[in-house]
Amino acid sequence: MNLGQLLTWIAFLASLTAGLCFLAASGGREGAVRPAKIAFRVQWLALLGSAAVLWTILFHHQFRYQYVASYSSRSMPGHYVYAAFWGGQEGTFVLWALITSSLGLVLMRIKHPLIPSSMFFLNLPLIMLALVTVMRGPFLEFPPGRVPIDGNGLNPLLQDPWMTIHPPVLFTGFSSLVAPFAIAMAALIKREYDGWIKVVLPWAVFSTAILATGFIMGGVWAYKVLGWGGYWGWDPVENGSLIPWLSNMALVHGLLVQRVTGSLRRTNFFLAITSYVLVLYASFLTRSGVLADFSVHSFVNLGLNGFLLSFLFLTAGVGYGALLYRMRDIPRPAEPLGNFSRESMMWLGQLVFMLMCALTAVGMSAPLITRLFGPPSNVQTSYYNLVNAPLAVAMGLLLGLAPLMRWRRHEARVLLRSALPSMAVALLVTLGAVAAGVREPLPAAVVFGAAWALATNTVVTIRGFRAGWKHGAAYLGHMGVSVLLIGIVASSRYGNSVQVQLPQGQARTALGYRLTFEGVKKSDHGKDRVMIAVDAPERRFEALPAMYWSEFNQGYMKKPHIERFITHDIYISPLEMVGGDATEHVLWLSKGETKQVGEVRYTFIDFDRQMGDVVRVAARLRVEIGGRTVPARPVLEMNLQNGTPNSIPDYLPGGGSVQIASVDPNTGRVALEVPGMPRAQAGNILAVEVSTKPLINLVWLGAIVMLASAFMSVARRVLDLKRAAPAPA
Amino acid sequence: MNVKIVMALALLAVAAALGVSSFRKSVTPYISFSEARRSSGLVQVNGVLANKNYVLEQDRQFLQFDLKDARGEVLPVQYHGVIPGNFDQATSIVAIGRYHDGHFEADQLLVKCPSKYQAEAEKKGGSAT
Repeated sequence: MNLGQLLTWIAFLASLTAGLCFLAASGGREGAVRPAKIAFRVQWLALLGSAAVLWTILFHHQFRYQYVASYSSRSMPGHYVYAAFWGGQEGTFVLWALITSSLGLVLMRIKHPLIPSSMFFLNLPLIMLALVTVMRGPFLEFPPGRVPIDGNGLNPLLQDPWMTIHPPVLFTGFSSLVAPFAIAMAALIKREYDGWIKVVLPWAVFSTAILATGFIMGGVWAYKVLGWGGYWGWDPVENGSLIPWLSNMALVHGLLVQRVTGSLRRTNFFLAITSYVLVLYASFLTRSGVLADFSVHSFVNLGLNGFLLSFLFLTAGVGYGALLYRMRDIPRPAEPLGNFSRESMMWLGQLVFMLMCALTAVGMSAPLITRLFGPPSNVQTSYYNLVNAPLAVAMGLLLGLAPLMRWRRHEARVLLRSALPSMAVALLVTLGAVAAGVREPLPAAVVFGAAWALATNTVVTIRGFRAGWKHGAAYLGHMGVSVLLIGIVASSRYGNSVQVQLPQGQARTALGYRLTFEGVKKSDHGKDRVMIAVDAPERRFEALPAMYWSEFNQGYMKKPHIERFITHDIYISPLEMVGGDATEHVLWLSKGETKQVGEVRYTFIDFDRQMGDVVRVAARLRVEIGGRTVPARPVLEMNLQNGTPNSIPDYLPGGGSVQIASVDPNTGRVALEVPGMPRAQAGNILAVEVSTKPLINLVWLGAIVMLASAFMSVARRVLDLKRAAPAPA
Repeated sequence: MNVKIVMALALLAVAAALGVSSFRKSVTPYISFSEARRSSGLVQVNGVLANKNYVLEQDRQFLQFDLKDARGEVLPVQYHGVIPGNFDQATSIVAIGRYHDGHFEADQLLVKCPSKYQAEAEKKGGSAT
């Protein structure tokens, strides 16, 4: 057993001890609190230690560890060696455990009667994760004598500066949803149906903020680096982090309603449990390999399916079971949820969040659902846009209305009067959008809803900030969402896109831009860029999208060029290059194989070899040309003394010639240069997609405003909690 | 009946109807070649390159090849568009499109190539016990 494995064992045993002691403490044994806290700290230290060991073996290139050999290599720059920590599934389990236990350390410091029981529930996933790392951790070694000299390296797709920060942030958000779950469970056990709100609010808001940070980073990455053409691809991993976030947003709004009116108690418990169940469900989907055929970044199956699935069912069973058990014990509110009031609108808002969540979850589960009826199949990404767009309209309308309403009840007539100005603004904006080209009803409706929400929330945000920053923070978030929605509609529906082939040195026109492919700019690291001179009405510029061959992926790696303007972006995404690669301008043939180039069919029969000081290899070919079949016999001579090759062509009827470019002795294949194949010197053709992204800056602006609001809200809720429970130990 | 319940029911009904219809519309099943020949809508088929006798015309952005499925059945496929690089080294090809006039007209081609990353990981997953 090596140090890493020893530490994972310590973490596992400590998590079991901590679990038992917290259970005892939760049952009222005061004496168990101290050992529980000690065991939990030991666990955290052990996890921290195993993370340190993992980084150490990565940085020291200790390839006797299978994980190090699989996800890093000697030639990798330092910051990617650091990111290789979460390059594979085993490492992400360690990361997940470390983050969960770090959050546990913070939760443990809060002085509140619910904390011991909460810690017991927070510790449950830690036991599971520690067990996983014990069973299948990143510290497995190769048997002696089979240690590789160098590792495979990290997938170049993942070799990006964003990779060093995006996964840990997303994992923090993902893991942090354990806290609302644990506190809700403790509240159910202790029958504290209202007392948990103050404790849980900072955590729920924190998860919102961190997860949103994670998405936004992912969005920027997808847009600027991966060249998806957009910031959001409805990929299973993205959806997997979106669905718990939506459910958590519903929880946050529900908690606010419950705090003021005392209603929605059961709903909130349900949402807190559901958010974490969705975290586990999403990690099951992306990790188990059931989506391997459908996603670009799901992991390889590690044989943990049964285990992950049983943990999912266990958590759901315990969570929903406890809620059902307490269902009748949870008191009904003193007065029912108002009919037409702020809280009833927030309740509708929760419904919108949960519908978005459910429909997105159905989409990402499509391979599982369709498997029940036939062959597994996926939905096109258009599904997500179709179902979420009408819900976005509903969200906009609710956001335009609810912040103007008072708690408990509202007079429709008073409301109408206060809503009229913002409605008028929204109508004007929508008319402007229609004039600018938004002619379809659904996008126009989204614009109307978002504009109304923006107008209303601008007013209430200003009013709120005058009364103190705490009162304006949440409404500021609504403003961010509205701006984001408008940006999404404009950039995803009203951009133009066209694919164009650019022969080297010749200008072509696309979307009114003149593009000239000038050549390839070599770079030291092999990450070559293509140079395209662009003459746009806005300005002339040189586009330098990356396009290079990756041995690792056996494919071209591409990175778009984005030319930014205030109102729009010009997005130039390289697609394919023809003639740029040495293997692409020749015709490879195996024995007996036939290929057609233009109107001519070539069949390779066999080699004739002649050994000596000069090795001669002749390729016997049958060529079908113009209805005739003729033999051809090009020869490749190799002078063994000076190593120079000499290729002797054979001539074809009609004036063309065929010659051997190279011979692969291992596979017995021959590479031919034939008429009609593009030659390397003759100039390459680059295929690119040129698109415009109108108002894309609104997407980033909305996202930043949303984030600012989320972190202000975290600060507010933490301050509230501190005031309620002064001087944490 | 009060306002919020009516609105909630309306929301639910719209979402449910929309969900079901969009799901049915945008789900593209992976089906066998014989089913693809009979179907009329957008479907997905997958297989490997049946032989090397394909026609690739880069300047016209045209590709024609034979796809072979696990049962050995062969389906002629035509595709117009940007041709995926290293197409002839693909270990598996997914074509999304529809069948008509004796061939499968692909709107989209997804090419899976021998990936070192996956292969190594699988090998390791198998041997690490």
